[in-house]
Amino acid sequence: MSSFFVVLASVVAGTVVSGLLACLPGLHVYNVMGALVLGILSLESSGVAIPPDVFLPAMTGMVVGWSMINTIPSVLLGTPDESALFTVLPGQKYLMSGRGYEGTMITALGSLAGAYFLVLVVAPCAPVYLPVCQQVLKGHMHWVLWIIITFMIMSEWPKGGNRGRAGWAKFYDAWKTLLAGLATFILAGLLGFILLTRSPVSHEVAFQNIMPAFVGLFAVPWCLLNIISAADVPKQRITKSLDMNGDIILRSVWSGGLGGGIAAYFPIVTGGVGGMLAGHACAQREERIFIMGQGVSKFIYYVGAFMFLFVPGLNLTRGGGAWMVKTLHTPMGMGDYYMVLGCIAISAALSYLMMSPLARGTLWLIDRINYRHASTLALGIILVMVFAVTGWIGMFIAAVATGVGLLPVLFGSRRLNCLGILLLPIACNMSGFGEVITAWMGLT
Amino acid sequence: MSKKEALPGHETQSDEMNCPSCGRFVGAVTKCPYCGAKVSKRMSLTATRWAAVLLATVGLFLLYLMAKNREIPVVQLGKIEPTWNFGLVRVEGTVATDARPFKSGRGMSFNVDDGTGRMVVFITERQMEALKEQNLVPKAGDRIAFDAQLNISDDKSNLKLSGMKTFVLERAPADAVRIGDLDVKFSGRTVTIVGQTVALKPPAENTNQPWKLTLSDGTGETEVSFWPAEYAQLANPAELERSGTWVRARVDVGKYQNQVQLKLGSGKDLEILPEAPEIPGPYLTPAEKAAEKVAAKVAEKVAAEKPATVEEAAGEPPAAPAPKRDFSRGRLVSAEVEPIASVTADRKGQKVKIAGAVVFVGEKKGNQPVSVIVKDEAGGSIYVKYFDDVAAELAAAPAKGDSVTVEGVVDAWNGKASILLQDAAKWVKVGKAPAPARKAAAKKAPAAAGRTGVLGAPRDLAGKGVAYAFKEGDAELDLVIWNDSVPGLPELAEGMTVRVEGAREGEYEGKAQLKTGKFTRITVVE
Repeated sequence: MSSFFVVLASVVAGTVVSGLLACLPGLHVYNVMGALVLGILSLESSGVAIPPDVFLPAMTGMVVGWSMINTIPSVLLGTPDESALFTVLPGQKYLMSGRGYEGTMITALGSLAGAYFLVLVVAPCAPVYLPVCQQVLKGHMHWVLWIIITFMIMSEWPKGGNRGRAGWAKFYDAWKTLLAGLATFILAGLLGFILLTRSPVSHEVAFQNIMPAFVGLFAVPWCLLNIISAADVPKQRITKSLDMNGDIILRSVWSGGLGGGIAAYFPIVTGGVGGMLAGHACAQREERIFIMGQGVSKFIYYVGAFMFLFVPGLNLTRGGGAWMVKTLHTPMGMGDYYMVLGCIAISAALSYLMMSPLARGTLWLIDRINYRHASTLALGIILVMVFAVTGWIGMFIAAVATGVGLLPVLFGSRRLNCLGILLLPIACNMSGFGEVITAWMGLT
Repeated sequence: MSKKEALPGHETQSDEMNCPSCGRFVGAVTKCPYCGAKVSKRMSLTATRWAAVLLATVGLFLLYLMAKNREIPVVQLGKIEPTWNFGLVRVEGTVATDARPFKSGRGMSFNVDDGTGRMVVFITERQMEALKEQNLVPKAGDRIAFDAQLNISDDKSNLKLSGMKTFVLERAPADAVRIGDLDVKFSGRTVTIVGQTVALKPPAENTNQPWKLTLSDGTGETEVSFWPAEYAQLANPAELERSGTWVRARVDVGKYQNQVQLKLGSGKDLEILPEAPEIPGPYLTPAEKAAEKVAAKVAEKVAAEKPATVEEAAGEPPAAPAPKRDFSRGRLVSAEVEPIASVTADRKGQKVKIAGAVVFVGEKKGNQPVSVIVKDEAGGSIYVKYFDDVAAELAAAPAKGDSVTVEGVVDAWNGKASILLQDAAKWVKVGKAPAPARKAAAKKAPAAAGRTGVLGAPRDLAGKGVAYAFKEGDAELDLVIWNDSVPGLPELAEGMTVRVEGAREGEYEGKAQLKTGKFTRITVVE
């Protein structure tokens, strides 16, 4: 019984801490979990062992809490992580019409629906069907990845080129965003080859060697953009009801669950890519379905990937959170699985209850604190974190990645192309010719 | 400064083209050539875009140069931390097991041991082909150095070979042996033989049999087998079909139905010789070799010091001196016992003598030497290694607790010194070292009589069982319980007092253990 209370206390603590940290723009839960892993290991080396009953629920709470509550800075502060990129435009539309709170709560409701879907629908089936799926699909992952990459690049269709003189100028006008997208994808891919093959980051913190690049590709450009071009946020209204119904919720779960599921299951495919694929597959045009579906997708992506580590018989490690847990603990049997499912349910409920006060608190702060200053503070926090973990080399990597991450911002192409950092090298490696490319680059 | 109206005719120009002070057109310049006023220009957004592209490209190139020229740190496998996961490291050690291809054929794996730990190394299909091509497929006993990416998890960790450019493999030394001298004593070793081809027998059609090459060197005849893959690697296989061709082959010696079996590991291990080579002499153990060498040196020295005889003065050949008995057993100078701490890697090749107690005896694995750790009273410890031939001549196998004097040659690898025992006679057991207090206490109660103790914190044994700290009075040992090994095992928990009957005593990594099995009974006392 004492174990029950230890688990309960740990999951509540993890959820509350990550819920508060999730409100800070630009800070990713995996960075915080990385610091936590470092702390646990240093405690272990000094003779104080932290039992799995403490750190597993706490980490589950952190992943669940962050995946839900991070909606607040994504919608209200315009600093989404990669998986929430699609939520930003409709979310900002809500914000600019004074309905930021409502937009945030609709997304959170999507996450809550995602939690129901995960715990009540996916979890009972997972130990039976997912190991079979894995056996069937594991030899086909490489071509699935190439198809996703192809679709991602092809769907960045030429924009502009409708007016002006005919000829090369008009052609360039139409193709410049597409070319910028391709350039972003290729440059990010080259960066990925370097970092995954021969990262300059010290081997002693190698488990975080991609972190500076992700910060540079996604977090820093957002902060810079907000510092340079922050708009005044209009007065926000706090509502007591949401413009939703059962039909919209079900359709959101369908599209978001599919997107999040694809992202959670397939290697390297993130929530943003999964959302894009599901958006095209489900063709749901309703704005509310879109926002809520992104909440579902984000939740399934982060929490579902984490949960897969614990599914008995599956032996699947997806997502940074699962990899970090794996360095500390090897999940065993149904006991761990039930514990994690219970933690997901408790943490999701707690996170949803925390959403409203935290969203109100953030809106209160937006009223009083200059938006630019908040973004500057966020930028400072993430840079300090990069420096603390990876030193000057990490800062250099972040600076280079920022250059690549700014391309889509400045040229108006999709920021998803920055995911070339993982998609390109991993797809090449899985297809068996990654070594040829790294040898050609002189890296191996 | 108030802004001046543009002069007539200049109204259509944008503001930054006209001087804000005098209103004249100034074009692209930032200082008015007429009145010297500063003309501020807006920065082009396009310029900032290309600045970002430039930053990304230049930065990426610099990062590439940095990564390419980075020195990979050499690590000790026993000291790897979980935070090093995905890190690129260099490992230097000994191949602990032969590289074996996966069932799928898409890669292979082997184990590497660097003296501090052991880890499995995975090789991709492409790397496997390159290793085969260059005859660098790792075999037990080979020394190896390579760059690899760490993959660490709580239950199993591994290394993934990263590229072939920095892969270095030094084959374990293989003695040249006459075919007539080969017998089952060589089993598990790699040797070099020379001989003339007698026959080359291809595998029967539609079978998985190997090729068989019969060789003879005048002292005996033997058969070397190899698979079609090795046959394909042969430089000139047609030459082998011709009887009488001289070849030199590095072969693995095995034993089948108490008969010697020779296998060619790679087609590149077989060399076709243009002419008859020198056949090696009878096989000598390292001890015999050393004795022979000393005898030769002593004879040389005696000959140099001896005054010219009457016969020599008269120009007649001297009578051959009677061979002296060698009491030195290979020693040129009498060795004094040295503190182990003074035996360092920079003394590689020197002969030293140490004294101390055996604290660890390793297991024999493949072609590798047996490793024994000897610790002296000053606290210094060193690995003493010896091969099968020495092991066969030792009066008694080294045992933990033996007090010994050892004389051998200093070897160095990865900056660490070890002693290679070349002569079994130079391993002298002086007595038995006193047992440590903990061990003595642990042995007070024989297992068969049953032992009672308090269980401490359990440890998972990689999912295969659990080990409890077992406190028995002042002594503490490990109670090892493998999964499903003990019938009727009660539910155990930390703090329980239990009685263990029918367990075997043992030791692992210097700690006393109670090993349970199907005849063990564990009962909870309280």
